[in-house]
Amino acid sequence: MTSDCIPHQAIAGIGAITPLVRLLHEESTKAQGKAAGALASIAMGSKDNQTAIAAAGGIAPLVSLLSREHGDEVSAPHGL
Amino acid sequence: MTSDGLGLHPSSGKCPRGLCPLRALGAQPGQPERRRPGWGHRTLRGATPRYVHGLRITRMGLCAPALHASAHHSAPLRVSWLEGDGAESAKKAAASALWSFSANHAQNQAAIAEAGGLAPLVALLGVGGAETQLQAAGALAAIALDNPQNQNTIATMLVQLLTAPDTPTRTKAARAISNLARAHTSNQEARAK
Repeated sequence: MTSDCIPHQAIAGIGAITPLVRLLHEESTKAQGKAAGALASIAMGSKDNQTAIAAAGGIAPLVSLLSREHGDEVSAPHGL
Repeated sequence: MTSDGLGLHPSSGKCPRGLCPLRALGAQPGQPERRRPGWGHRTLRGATPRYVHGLRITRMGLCAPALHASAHHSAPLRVSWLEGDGAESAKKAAASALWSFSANHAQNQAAIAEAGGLAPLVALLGVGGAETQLQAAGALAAIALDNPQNQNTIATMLVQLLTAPDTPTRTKAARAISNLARAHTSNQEARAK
């Protein structure tokens, strides 16, 4: 693919995929969302990373996340 | 003025520049501009997603923007926004990730379907916030691309929604199909590059 895949491959290469997939199982929806976003970036345009994330068990927790009803944190917003 | 010709935007005209991406997606902006003028454009830039998401969840969930006129812009609305924000952001990110995983990857396309990912993605097309709808539509289109079995499953779900007894559900289905068609074209073009 194009040269912009290199950083993603480097991130995956240093072992980021497994801990990110683990993060998808956290209770916090914020943590889950951030992990999902990172995995989305790593997978984008890299067939190897797409395969690696699926092999690491990344799909099932994301499917669960699609149906999650409630967020975890209820904090007072600024200015309200 | 209906900018996209689909007739899906009863509150059209509230977007001063006619560029609001929510309208392009078939979302129905209610009254938020009373509190934050230009919110749709702010969404485009991603400056205040938290605020906007909460409002969207609430309105889209109720499917009746008129119910959220000024009298309802009080504490209960804020509570529902706060409670829903984390989940909505996570859903959007999850849909985005599934889109990335399935793009031009036949094994993952099948694996996501086997993991039961199609039904919740179709559901998000109708009830999620506008950005979540966009991600869900993109994911579904990528999952369906060149996969007749997935195409058939998704189409069956959408037809079921289209023949539902209540009008709001049928309207959501029409919006979902519109989003999906656009996303499909986009994915095809991306692959052609």
